[in-house]
Amino acid sequence: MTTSSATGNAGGSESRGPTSPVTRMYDRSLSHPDDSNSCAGRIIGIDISTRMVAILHQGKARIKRILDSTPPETRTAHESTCCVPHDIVEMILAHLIRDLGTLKACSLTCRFWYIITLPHLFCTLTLRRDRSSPISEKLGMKSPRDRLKPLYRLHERGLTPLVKGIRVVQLYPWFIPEAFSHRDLRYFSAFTNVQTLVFHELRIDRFILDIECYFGHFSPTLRSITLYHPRCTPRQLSHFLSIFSTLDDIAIIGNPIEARIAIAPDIELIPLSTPKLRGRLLLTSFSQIDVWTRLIALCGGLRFRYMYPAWIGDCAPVLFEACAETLEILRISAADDIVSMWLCGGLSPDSS
Amino acid sequence: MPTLSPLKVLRSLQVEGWVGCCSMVGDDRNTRVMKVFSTIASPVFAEFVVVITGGYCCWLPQDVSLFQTLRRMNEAIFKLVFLLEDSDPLPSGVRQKLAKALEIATADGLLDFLDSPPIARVVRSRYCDWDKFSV
Repeated sequence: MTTSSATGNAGGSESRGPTSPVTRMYDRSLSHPDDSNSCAGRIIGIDISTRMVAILHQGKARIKRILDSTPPETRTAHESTCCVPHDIVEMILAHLIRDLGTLKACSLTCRFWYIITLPHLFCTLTLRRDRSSPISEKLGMKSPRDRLKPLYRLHERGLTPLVKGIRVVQLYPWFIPEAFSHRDLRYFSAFTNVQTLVFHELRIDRFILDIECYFGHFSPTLRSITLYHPRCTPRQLSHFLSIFSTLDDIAIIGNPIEARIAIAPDIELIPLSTPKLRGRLLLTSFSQIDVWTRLIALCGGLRFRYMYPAWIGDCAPVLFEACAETLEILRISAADDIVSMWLCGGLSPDSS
Repeated sequence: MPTLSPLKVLRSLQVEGWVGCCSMVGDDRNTRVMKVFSTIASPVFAEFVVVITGGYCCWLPQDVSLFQTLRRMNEAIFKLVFLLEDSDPLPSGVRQKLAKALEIATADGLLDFLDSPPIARVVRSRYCDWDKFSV
């Protein structure tokens, strides 16, 4: 539903995607630049870089010239793909960023396509249980260090700078400081371009004493972090989040789980930086208000522009108040009785 | 009173879990959404999105009380334009179901209070596709 006062920014921030600008340009390229009537209906209200459109038209002209000058029967498939301008091939292949299978197939076409697809193929590193050897896993033959082997492989092939996201999947904790040898830690610290981190059940409490040593190198580039059921105290969680000075987006699913026996006693945790927190906040089943009060105190407020709280109990009033000046998009669940009733004024936050 | 009124730059309110089986979605949810909506005081507010999860889209034409609430919102609070949002990785079957549900709702006159016919758009959720990548 959109009110009649909706502006041209109808896509909202959720419609951001790597394919959109290219699609828009392609739409425009289908019609003649002077034929304003034919394309106006499709691209009204969307900014298109005139430079990119110029490149596209130049490319089209080059393709036409090449195809006109070479008889079709004398061209091989390889020549056909190579004669398309590089920037256009790059734009087309960027559409496949979410289709890993097709990207892999494209990478086998020729060396040029391999070079183009490489950054997309290796943009996310996933560390998880080795699915190929479940028996040895059950028998305990796989040590946690074996699971860190992809770090070595990426380093060996010189692909480390291409990694923009890291996911760690674990059903039981293997991603712990003891799993890192000196060499593993060196390779892990070599990721200098990571913008997204996703951790399942991260043992923050095990890392807390040397947390900067393991995660500090992500600070200059990290924009987004997702934590599923982190293992730590609320205080440790807020300290962990404060490491990343450029952090904008936070997603936390599930309350932090505290260890029965405190691994690291509640030592004094000195804030390492003040994250920006200007992007998105997604919270599900998370009611640890202490995490936010500490972050608000540390950062002098929160500046999230998108918020999706679900089943967050007492955190809702604190977060809404902190983001009152910046929150542009709010997503709520009608099934979340606490938040929706609280918003109606039918429930005091204390009673939740 | 805790409301949305302190949010000075709120541009969009998205509500999910509103459309579903009648036994699951009680009348109090309609009242609650209406109340929440009426507390918006942002001068730049422009968008009210009803998020329909794939499995529940076939309930849309049957959820008459939802459309009645929308009609009341349209008359009392803001002028509405219907927009069907479609998340990009959605299977084509579900997408067709959504379009069909919208067609039925329009044919049944549930959206006759609108000034313009309903439209659809595709959005990409940022949190939906992390699991697809691996080395």
